[in-house]
Amino acid sequence: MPGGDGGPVSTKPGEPDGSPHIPSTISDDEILRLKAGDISALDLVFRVYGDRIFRVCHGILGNRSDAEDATQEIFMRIFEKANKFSGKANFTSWVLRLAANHTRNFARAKTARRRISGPTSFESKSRMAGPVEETIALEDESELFKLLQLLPSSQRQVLVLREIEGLSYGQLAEILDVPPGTVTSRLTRARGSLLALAKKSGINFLNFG
Amino acid sequence: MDCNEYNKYLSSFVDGELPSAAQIEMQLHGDTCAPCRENFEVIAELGRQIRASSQSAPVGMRSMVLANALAAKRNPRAPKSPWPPIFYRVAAVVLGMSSVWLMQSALSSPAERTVGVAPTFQSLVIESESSLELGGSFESHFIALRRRPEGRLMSELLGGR
Repeated sequence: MPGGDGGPVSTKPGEPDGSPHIPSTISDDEILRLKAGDISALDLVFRVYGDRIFRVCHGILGNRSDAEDATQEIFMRIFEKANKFSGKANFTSWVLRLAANHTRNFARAKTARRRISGPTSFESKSRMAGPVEETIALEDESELFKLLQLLPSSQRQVLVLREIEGLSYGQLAEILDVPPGTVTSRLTRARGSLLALAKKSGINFLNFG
Repeated sequence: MDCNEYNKYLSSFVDGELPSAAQIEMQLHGDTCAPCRENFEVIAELGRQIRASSQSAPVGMRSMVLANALAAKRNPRAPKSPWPPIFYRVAAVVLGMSSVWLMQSALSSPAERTVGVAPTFQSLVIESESSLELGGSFESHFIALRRRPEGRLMSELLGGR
């Protein structure tokens, strides 16, 4: 079947549940078992993609709690929608596309909730204050993710997928269903905006680390 | 290549997404221009920090995902309705309008409303007389009529005599 991952699927270090063996591929047979509702096939899919999807969700949503909820929902959708995987696309692309779409919807719902409850103190500070006098503690990694949350969702999504998943522009275009030129422009804007926000917050990436 | 052009394509250059000739040209400019080389380092460091900020999935998530999937498999969701949600909205509006129309048409006919609420005096007298003809006493039939809700009009009229 052409939809299976012919080559090895790279995995990030760190098995979520600490299992010694991390599978690197999803075979056509395993995709068929997933389509048939086999829980052990879903287990394998989670071991291959679980950590990767969680990292992407964490980057896009900005906090672990939302990332956990979104990741669980994404795997439920993978399990429920496996039948709709036609095999035209690469299975990894299909999984990442589903994850990207779901995370975008999750983020939209989160933004809507935030509009109702009002901006967070961090957002208020970032938007109202001029040059921030107090340098944000660079060691606090979550500050960078907080800055990421201030980007438009389309820019944040493409930047996180590029930096965390290391996808090429062609793969990003396929997963996000946009032309490659749009990927290029969104990445350029995302990086420019993030650097401007970082400068405003007193973060100098050259002195970082 | 000047600095403006370099910075225009910097993002794609850092990602290695430019055609090979352009990649080399960018590399050559960066080698001779310190401010542009610093911009390159900033963009590259930004990516490294995003990767460093991302965290692994929590221990136990795999078990939760599998437990949820198992529960969903054992108790599948109710099948989706073949009708789109708009169908139910339109049906509710039509039903509501029909109810209003029926009520209005019922209230717009005085004769029907009178029959429905209370029988006329004449009809009660006829009913009473026909009962008497069957052998009952007038008094027993009068008491029976008084007990009936629609008999109130009769009793009032008879009482007023």
